[in-house]
Amino acid sequence: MFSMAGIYGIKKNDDTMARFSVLFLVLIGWFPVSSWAQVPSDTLRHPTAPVFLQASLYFPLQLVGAQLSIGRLVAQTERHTIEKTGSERVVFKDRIVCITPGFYRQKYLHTNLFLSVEYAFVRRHPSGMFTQFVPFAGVSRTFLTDAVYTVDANGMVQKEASAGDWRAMAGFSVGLGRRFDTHKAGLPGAIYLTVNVPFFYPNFRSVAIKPTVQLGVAFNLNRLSHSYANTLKTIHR
Amino acid sequence: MKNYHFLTFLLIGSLVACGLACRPETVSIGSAVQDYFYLDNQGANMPILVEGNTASGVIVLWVHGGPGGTAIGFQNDKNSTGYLESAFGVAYWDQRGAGGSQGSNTPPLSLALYADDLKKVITLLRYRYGQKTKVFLLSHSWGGLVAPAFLTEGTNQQLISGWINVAGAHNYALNDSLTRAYLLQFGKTQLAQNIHTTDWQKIVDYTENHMPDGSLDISRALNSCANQAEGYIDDIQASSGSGLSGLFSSDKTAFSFFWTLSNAGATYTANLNKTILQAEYSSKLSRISLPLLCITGKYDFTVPRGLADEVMLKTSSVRKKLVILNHSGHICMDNEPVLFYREVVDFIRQN
Repeated sequence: MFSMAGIYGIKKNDDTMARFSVLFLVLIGWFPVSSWAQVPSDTLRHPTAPVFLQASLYFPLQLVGAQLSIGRLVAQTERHTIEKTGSERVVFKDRIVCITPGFYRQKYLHTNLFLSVEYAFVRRHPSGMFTQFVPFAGVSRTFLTDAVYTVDANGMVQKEASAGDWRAMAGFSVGLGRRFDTHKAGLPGAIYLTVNVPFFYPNFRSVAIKPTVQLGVAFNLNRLSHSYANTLKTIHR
Repeated sequence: MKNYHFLTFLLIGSLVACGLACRPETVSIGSAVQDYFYLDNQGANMPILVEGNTASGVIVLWVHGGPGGTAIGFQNDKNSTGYLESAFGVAYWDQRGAGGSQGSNTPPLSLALYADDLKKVITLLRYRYGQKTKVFLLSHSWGGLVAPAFLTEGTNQQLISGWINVAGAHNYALNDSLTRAYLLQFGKTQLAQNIHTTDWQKIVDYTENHMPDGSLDISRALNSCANQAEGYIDDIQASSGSGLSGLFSSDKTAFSFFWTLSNAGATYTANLNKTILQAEYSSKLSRISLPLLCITGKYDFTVPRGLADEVMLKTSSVRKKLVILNHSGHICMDNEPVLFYREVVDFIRQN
């Protein structure tokens, strides 16, 4: 904490004065953010939410693919900002963990099966519109799409089965979507569109990049519920 | 329940798609074939696209430039298709660390590996299209280093019916010296004639103050000057559909842009670039005795004509010919495609 003793210290000598001048400027800058936006209390609750499934398709150019994620909400911050005029803005910040098996296939390149873990940072408005940033990491195995041959030192040719490579993958996706406030079976809980930027290592001792566009839907599995940490923040401006 | 039906459908679809990944082998003998397959060698899976007239009994194998270029994405253009594929089969091979090739923990890139790959590509082509198939090497730039690395080893020449060496860089140290000398000499004439004065002055200043010293930095800087220089010469015929715009606008069915970009990056940062600065085949060219056609552009500063002159002088081939394309730079097959491919087709037919 910035103590008043520090402020008194300004008078002691020039070096200390310069140091605390900076501190003072920081305090001045911090004041409108922290003091004016008063947070009287945070309320922690533990409501329940259903586990959900996400199914999505990849589709840029010659590449097609699909993935199926099972995920759960692990934390949610519900932030209410009350302006001086009395109007109120609400934003939900969701943290979601997903496990995702999937594949894509690009003609003349490979079919790539992968398994990844995602940790999604979702910023959602009451209208249902949301944006998300999703770092992920996992493992992939490619299978070449056409006949593969080996030739030994004596010139003998053999056809190879299941040629391809294991690689570690990591990357991120950014996107936006719309969540529907419904728990009715058969209707999607959300739709979203993202740009994925996965990096695969190694490829010739370096990395390979394979950006994709992904269109997906999410369904709630209402029979599987779990609790999560919900923090309610109310801010008066 | 509808949720689960959808998911089951998605799962089945995924499995079917995975099953399609393993496509049956196709070997086509005809006048307009398109076969696609891979060679797996020492950790690298390298794609080979064979198009055109394989019934001719002749396959022209592109050994592309770079390192880190692509034959499938670059050499496979409308000119190669139009002028070569109607007469012969044409094999577009993406080398390791290039184009659509894939590898994981491969051995470090080395010239010896590329030469071994080339030998096995030729063996595979003859296995698929018949042992009597005549294979001609059509190498360009860096490919002109890979080709002699292969041709000067053992009995490898017996696998080949002829070598078309286009702006081949068989000696990198000599290449750098010739590039510098040509840039200086040509640049000064341009300055004397007040042509692109500011641009040429920069090139002349750099080349005057930097002698090739075997370092990668100077080698790359000279290469960059050579590329720029071509842009200041109006006598070079403009190529159509090359470069990045060409990659995006053309119909490259077997081409993955981002994978190619990744491979180019992997090769650019590899130690290979330092080791090949010492590579030279000047002392081994006399071992080459097969029919030879050298083609070079008059305004090629990247791999100047002096290299082609040395190949003509030192090889022991009885049948050999040097062609200078007077309105071309380093990518002479794009600058003057009619002349270029006429020479190539005539050479193959004569041999």
